[in-house]
Amino acid sequence: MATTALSPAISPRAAPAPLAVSTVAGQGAVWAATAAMLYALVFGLYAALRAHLFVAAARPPQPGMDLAAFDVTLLYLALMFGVQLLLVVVPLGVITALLVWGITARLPRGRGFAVAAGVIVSLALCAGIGYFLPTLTGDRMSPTVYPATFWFWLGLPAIFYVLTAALGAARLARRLG
Amino acid sequence: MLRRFWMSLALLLLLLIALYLGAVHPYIMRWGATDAELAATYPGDPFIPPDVVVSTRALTIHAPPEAIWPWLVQIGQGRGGFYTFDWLENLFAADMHNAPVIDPALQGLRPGEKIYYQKGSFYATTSVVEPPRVVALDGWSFNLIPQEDGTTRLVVRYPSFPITNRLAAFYYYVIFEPAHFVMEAGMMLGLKARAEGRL
Repeated sequence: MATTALSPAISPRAAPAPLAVSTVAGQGAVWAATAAMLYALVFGLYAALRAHLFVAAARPPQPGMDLAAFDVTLLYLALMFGVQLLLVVVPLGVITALLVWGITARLPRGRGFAVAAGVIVSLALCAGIGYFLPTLTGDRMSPTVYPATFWFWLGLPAIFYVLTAALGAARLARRLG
Repeated sequence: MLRRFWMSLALLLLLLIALYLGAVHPYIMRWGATDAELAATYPGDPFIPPDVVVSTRALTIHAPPEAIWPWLVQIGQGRGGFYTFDWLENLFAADMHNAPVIDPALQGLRPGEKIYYQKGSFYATTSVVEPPRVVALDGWSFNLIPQEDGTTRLVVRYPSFPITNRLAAFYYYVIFEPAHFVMEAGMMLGLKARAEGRL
């Protein structure tokens, strides 16, 4: 007996289900946490490799055990730091996702508008954080006084954050239909 | 894809925690130290407060104490640095720069002098200076013990901050102790390389 069902290619497209606030917030949290842990992992691998080369050249007492101890400890530390930073990063991801969602819903449909909303919202939040941070940290986050500190804690994470917001917004646009 | 990333990350983290707690932590708390060095008393010990965890680490430097001393006595931020991973220290606004040479102006360290870990903030007070054998910053002591074969054992004893509650214990065991091992062992290796003329 021949089937009467239409193939998906010629089915009428169903209207996308409206997204719940909790779904959007959850997605924001997951994307932010993923970006933060990816950053921590990349940094951990970089730090372990760089320290590994230093320790190997410094002739430690028990090279095999000592190199393993440094590698494991540095990677462990980077990831544990990442886990703790989720306390800050996840709320930021939730706020970003909700703002992007709220703006995207008022814009014409299309991935370009959503990505633009993601970039603008994340840049605006970066600017806000950058504006208030000197009152908390003094010149310790200054790109001219402490460039390594600035790039590690603010510059590179900001680039990660804006990219993540753009990618997340594109995905949100697809779910909104 | 996200699920796979998180599953892999969770497995990696569990593996690292198991490795760190099971094998690495016991090893690094007495890194290189013999039983005798662990049991010995050092001139900085009276400055170790109660309620702390103490680590004792040691290595052999192929040079006499007199050749190590000028490097050891100039440690500190704004001085000779700590000879460890300054690129890590500078992620925390330390403004640390490891000296490649002995600076004659920094050789007169005296008890009571402040030695900074970070520019303008955290510091320790020099508690013991016994040339060319011991420098102690509060309870953190660097002991140079000459050996019969002309080498020197560098024994470093470090007391943690007082661990008086669960939050302090969590911070100490999860973050501080592993970070301190990396920096202190790196410092000992940096000191060894300098005293042996390999830097």
